[in-house]
Amino acid sequence: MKKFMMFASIRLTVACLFWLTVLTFWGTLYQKNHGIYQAQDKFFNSYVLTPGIPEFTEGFLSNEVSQAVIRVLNYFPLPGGMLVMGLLFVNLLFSFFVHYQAGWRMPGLMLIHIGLMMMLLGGFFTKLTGIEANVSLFEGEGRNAAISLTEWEISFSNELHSVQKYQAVDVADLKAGRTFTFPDSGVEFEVLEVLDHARGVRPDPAAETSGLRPANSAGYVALEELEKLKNPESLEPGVRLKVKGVKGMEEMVLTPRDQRPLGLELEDGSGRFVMLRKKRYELPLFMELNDFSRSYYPGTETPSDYRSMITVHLSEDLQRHVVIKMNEPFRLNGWTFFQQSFAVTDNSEMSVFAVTRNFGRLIPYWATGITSVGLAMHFLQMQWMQLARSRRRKS
Amino acid sequence: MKILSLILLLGFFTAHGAEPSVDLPPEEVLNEVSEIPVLFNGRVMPLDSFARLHLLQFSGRKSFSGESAMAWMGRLLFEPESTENDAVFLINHPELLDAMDVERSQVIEGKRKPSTRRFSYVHLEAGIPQLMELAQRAQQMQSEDSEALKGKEFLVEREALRVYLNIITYRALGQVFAYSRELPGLVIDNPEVREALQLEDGNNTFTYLDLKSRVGGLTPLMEQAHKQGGPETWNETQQDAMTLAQLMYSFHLTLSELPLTLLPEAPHGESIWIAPMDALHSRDGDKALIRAGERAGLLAQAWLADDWSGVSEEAKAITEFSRSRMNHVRETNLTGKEASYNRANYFGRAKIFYILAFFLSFGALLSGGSKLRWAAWIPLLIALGFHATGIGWRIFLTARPPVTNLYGTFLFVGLICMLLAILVESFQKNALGQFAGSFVALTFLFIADRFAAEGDTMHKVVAVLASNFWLSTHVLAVTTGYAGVWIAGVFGHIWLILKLLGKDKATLEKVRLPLEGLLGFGLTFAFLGTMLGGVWADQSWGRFWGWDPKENGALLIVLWTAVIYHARVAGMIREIGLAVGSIIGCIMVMVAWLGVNLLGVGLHSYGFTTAMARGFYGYIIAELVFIVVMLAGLRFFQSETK
Repeated sequence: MKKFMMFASIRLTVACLFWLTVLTFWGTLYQKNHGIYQAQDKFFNSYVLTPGIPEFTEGFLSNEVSQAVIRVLNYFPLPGGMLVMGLLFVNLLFSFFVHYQAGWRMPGLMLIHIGLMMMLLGGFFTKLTGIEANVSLFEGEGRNAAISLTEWEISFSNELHSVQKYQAVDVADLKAGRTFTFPDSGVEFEVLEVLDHARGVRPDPAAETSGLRPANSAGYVALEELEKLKNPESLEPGVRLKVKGVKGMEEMVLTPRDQRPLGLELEDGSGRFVMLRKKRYELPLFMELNDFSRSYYPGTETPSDYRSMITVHLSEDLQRHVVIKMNEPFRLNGWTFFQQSFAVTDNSEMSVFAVTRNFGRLIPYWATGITSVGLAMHFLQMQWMQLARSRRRKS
Repeated sequence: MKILSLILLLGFFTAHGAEPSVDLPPEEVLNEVSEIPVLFNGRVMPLDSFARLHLLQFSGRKSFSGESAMAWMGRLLFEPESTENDAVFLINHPELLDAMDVERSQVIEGKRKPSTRRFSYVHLEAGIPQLMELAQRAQQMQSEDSEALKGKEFLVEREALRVYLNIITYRALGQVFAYSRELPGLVIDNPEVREALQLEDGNNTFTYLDLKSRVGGLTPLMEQAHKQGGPETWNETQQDAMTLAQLMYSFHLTLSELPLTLLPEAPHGESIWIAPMDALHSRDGDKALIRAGERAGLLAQAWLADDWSGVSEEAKAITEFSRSRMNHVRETNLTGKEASYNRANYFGRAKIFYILAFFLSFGALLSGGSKLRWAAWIPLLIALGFHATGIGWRIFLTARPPVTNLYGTFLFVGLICMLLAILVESFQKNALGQFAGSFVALTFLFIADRFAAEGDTMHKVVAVLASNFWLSTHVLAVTTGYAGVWIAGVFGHIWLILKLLGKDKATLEKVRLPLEGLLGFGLTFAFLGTMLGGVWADQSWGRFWGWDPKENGALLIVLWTAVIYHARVAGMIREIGLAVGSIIGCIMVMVAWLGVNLLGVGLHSYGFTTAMARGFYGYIIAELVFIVVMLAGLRFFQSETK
C-alpha cells in the first residue's frame, strides 16, 4: 500500500501543476511559428515530448548549434500533456481517498478535487469519442453527411459517385506492413507507405521501366514526403498500397490530388472504385439550406449577424425549420451544428457549418460548476477561519 | 462669365493665406453642435466623439493646444483654412520627413521647433506627392501580402501609409461643407444667365448650396441649346449656362461621399447615412433630407459668420431630424448623453484624486498617522466615485458589459482592484489597502489611456462576441480573477520591500494575510472565468477547450496560483516564496491579458502596437529584475545579520 502512497503526494501535485504550467507556456509560444494544431499535438495531446529547441532561443543560436542541441535533447524525452494530466488525475484520485477520508471539515476542497477529476475525465472522453467535421451548403442544397476537417479515409465502392453505399478504412489506422480487405470484394491490400503530408510524383519519361507501374488515376507512380504544415486541415496525405485480387494491378498510389476515383477490375469481372478522401460522417438527419442571410454594422465590413435558415429532414415524414446563427447552434442526438462561416459566389451564397458530436459535452459543465462551488466554499471558509483566528489573537 | 480654373475650386481649401476667423462659439452652442449624430465605424455617435477620434488619430492627442477636439473639428469642418497651420499630424519616424523632402523642424507661432513630432498641413504640403508615392507602394505591398510591411525595415512605409491616410481624411473633412462656402473665382456676369438664376443685383458671391436651389432656372436655356445642336451652334448665354451646369455637376461628382456621414437617408432604413452635400441630391427626391442637407450648409455659414444663435438653431434642427428618422436606433437618441460623458472626463478626474489618495496614504504608511489615513479616504472615495460612474456610463451607452475591449478591461480591473483594496483596508486599517489600491487603479487608468489612443473605445463588437450573457459572465469573471491575482502581486511587492527593510513579523503578517486571501479570490474567479470561457466556446464553436493562446493564458493564471498554494501546503515554499510567486502571478496575468495577443494566432488575437509590445516586455524585465534584486538583498542582509 505504501508503494501507492507516493501517488497521493502533494509534492507530486506541485510537480504536475508546475510542469503543466511550463507546457502551457511553452506550447503557447510554440504556436507563434507552428500554429495551434502542431502545438496541440506536440505539447498537449502527447504522452512524451521531444522538446526540440525552445522557441525563445531562435535567432540566438546558429543552425549548426541548434541541430546539435536538438540531437542531444531528443535523448531526453519529457512528459507530454496527456501523461501529466493522467498523472494528475491519479494523484487527485489517491489524494481523495488518502487525505480526505476524514476531510468533511473541508467540503470545498473535496468538491474542487471531484470537479477537477471530472474535468480531466471529460477531456479524455471527448478526445477518445469526439467528432469534428463540417458541412458546406449552397442555398437550395442538402446533405446527410459531414466531412472531417483533418481525418482521411480510403473509400471502396462499386459505384463511381456513391454517397450512400461505400466501405472505408481510416488512414489514421494504416501503418506500413498492415493488411486489410473489404468484405465480399476478394481484394487484399497491404500498406507499403503512409505519409502525413505528401505529393504524387509522375514517372520520369527518360527512365526505363520494367513491369507494372503503380496505378493512379492522375498518373502518379510514387510519393514524395513534404514538410508538415501549420494547419492540419491543409495536410494532404499519401498512401502506397500493394494489391492482390485485381486484374492488371500490383500496386497503387493514392493522393487527395487524384481528383477522380481509381477504377479496379476484380478477378470475378466486377468493378470497384477506390479513392483517398476526407473522412465522411453520416448524420442522423438530412439538412437543406433554404436561405442564408448576413448583416453588417452600417458602413463597415464588420459582420453584426449571420444566420442560416435550414430545413431538417429527420425522416421521410418528419421535417422542421431551424435557424442556426452565431452563438445559437442546433443540437440533435449528441450532434451540434454551428454557424461557422460563409462564402459568396456570383450567383449564390454558401453557408459553412461546424459539426461536432460529443456525448460527454456536459461533463465539463458539471465539472466547472462543482469546482467553482468548491473553490468559493473553500475560499470563504479559509477567510472565515482567518478572521476568527485574528479575533482570538486580539482578544 | 469668367470661370477660373476648376482645379482651384475642387482643390483643397478655397485659398491658402486667407485670414481665418478664430472666433469659436460659446460653450453651450458648441455643445449643441457636439451632440449632432454621426455614423462612424458602424455606430451612431455624437460629432464630439467623431472629433475626438479623428484628432486622436491625427495627433495622438485628445485636444489641440488647449482647444477641445470638438472646437478644432468645428474649425476643420466649417473654416478649414484656420487649421492649416495647426501642428496636428503626428510623425513618429522623422525618416519619413526626409523621404518627403520636408524639413525635420518647423516654425510654429514664429519660433522654430527642432524636436517636434507634430507638423502642420502647410509644413507637409510640399512633400505630399512623395508621401503619396510611398504610401501607394506600401499599400500595394500590403495588398499582395498582408504581412509584407511587418519588418523593421518598412517602418517608413508603414508610417507613410498611416500619415497619408490621415492627410487624405483631413483634406476630405475640410471639404464636407465646401458646398456652403463661396466658390472662388466664379463670376456670373451674363445678364440672361443671372436672370434665369434669379440673382439679385449686387449678388456676386456664390455658393454651391445657393446655386443648387437656383440652377433649375437654367433648364430652358439648356434645353434650347440641346435642340439647337452641338456647342458650335450655341450663343454666349447658352455656353455660359452649359458651363455653369457642368461646373455644378463636376463639383457634386468630386465632392460626393465625403467621410462625414451626418444624415440618415432612408426614412425606414437603418444603415444608410450620407454626407450633407449628398443629401441635396437625394435619389428619391426626399424633401426632408434635402432640407436637412441645406440646414447643414446653413449651419456652416452661420459658423463662418459668427452667428452663434444660427449655429445653435441649425444644430438642433439637424439633431432632431436624425433622431426622428432613426428613433429605433438606440445610440441616435443618446448622442447628447455620450457627448456629456466625453466632456465629463470621469477617468481623468478619477486619476487626479487617485494621485492625491496615493500620496496621502503613502504619507500615512510612513508616518503611521491615522489622520492622514482618514484624509486619504476622501480623495480615494471621490476617485472611486468618478471611476465607477465612468464605467456605469459606458455600460449604459454601449448597452454592453464594460469589458468588450482591452481599454474596457483595464478600467474594470482597476475598479475591482480598488474595491478589493478597500476591503483589505477596512480590515487592516493601516493605509496599506489605500496605498496599493490607488496605485493599481491609477496605473491601470494610465494604461487604459494608451489603448484609448487606438480608436473608438465603444466600438461595435464582432458577431461572435455579441452576447451580453457570455460577456457578463465569462469576461467579467476572468477579469475579476485578473484583479485578484494582480492586487495580490502588489501585496507581494510590498511584503518583499518591508522584509528587506527589516520590518517585524507582525507588520509582515499584515501584508501576507491579505496576499493569500486575494490570491485565493483571484484563483476562484480566474478558474470560474476560464471554464465559463470553455462553456462559451462550446456553445459557439463546438469545443470546450482548444489550447488557444488566450485560453492558455487564463489557464496559466489558474495553474500558477494552484502551484503556489500547493507548494505552500507541502512546505516547499515559505513567505518569501509566496511573495515571489504572487509577483510571478502578476506576470502571468499580463501574459494572459496582453502577451498572448502578441502571438497573433488563435481566435482571440487583437491588434497590438509596437509601443505596447515594448511596454509589455519592459514590464516583464522590470518584474524579474525586481525579484532578483529583492532576493539578492534579502540574502545579503540575512548573511550580514548572521
